[in-house]
Amino acid sequence: MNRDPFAAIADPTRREIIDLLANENLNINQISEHFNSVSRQAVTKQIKYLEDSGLILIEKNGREKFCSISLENLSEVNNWLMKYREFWNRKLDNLDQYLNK
Amino acid sequence: MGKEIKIERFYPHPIDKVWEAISTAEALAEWLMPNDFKLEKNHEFTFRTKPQPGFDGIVKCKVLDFEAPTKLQFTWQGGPLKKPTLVTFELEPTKNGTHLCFSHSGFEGFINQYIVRFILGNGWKGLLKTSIKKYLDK
Repeated sequence: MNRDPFAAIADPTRREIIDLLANENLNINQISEHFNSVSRQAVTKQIKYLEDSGLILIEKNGREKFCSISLENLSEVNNWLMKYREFWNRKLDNLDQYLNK
Repeated sequence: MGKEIKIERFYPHPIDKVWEAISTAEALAEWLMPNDFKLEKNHEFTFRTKPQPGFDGIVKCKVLDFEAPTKLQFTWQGGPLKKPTLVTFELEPTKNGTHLCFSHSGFEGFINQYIVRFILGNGWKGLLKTSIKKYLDK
């Protein structure tokens, strides 16, 4: 089912799940543990909702289901991080030249 | 997805020389960018470079912490980075030179900003699609 991503972020629990996954990949148990006042069943439902919205990916690894932010949609972020890495490598080469003067 | 940039380098120079190169405005201007850096906790300074599309060429920074001659940490904010990120230099003396551990971290806000933009982008597209459809169906 395709769901509207706009509706997906209207819900605070779903926003929090996105926030958690922005920092690291987690399995469903780890995500549920972050919520004290939301049942595991409800969290699972919200995770499914986010998957249907195309915002997160769920991959099965044995009995565990791992969730991650849909990277394809975040390639712009990776491009920027690559640029920064190149920038610093270039600058640290300059530092080498500076020290050798 | 790597959310932190880590680079390790070795420089065949004594630690005091490398420390001076990373902790004085003159030296930083030579190998990094022109700046008004001062080795003072909480000192706010900028690096300035040629403006580019989407970047005014100004990086806003603030010295967070330092311990001469082994550690220097400052914030880094500019261009697409709307929230401060963290730049850390750690030096360690070795037998014949100095080992540098460099890191640039704290991109979570940056990543979240893209997630939100992505969500909003698609959300609006979806909204337009459905409202146009509704309109046409009338």
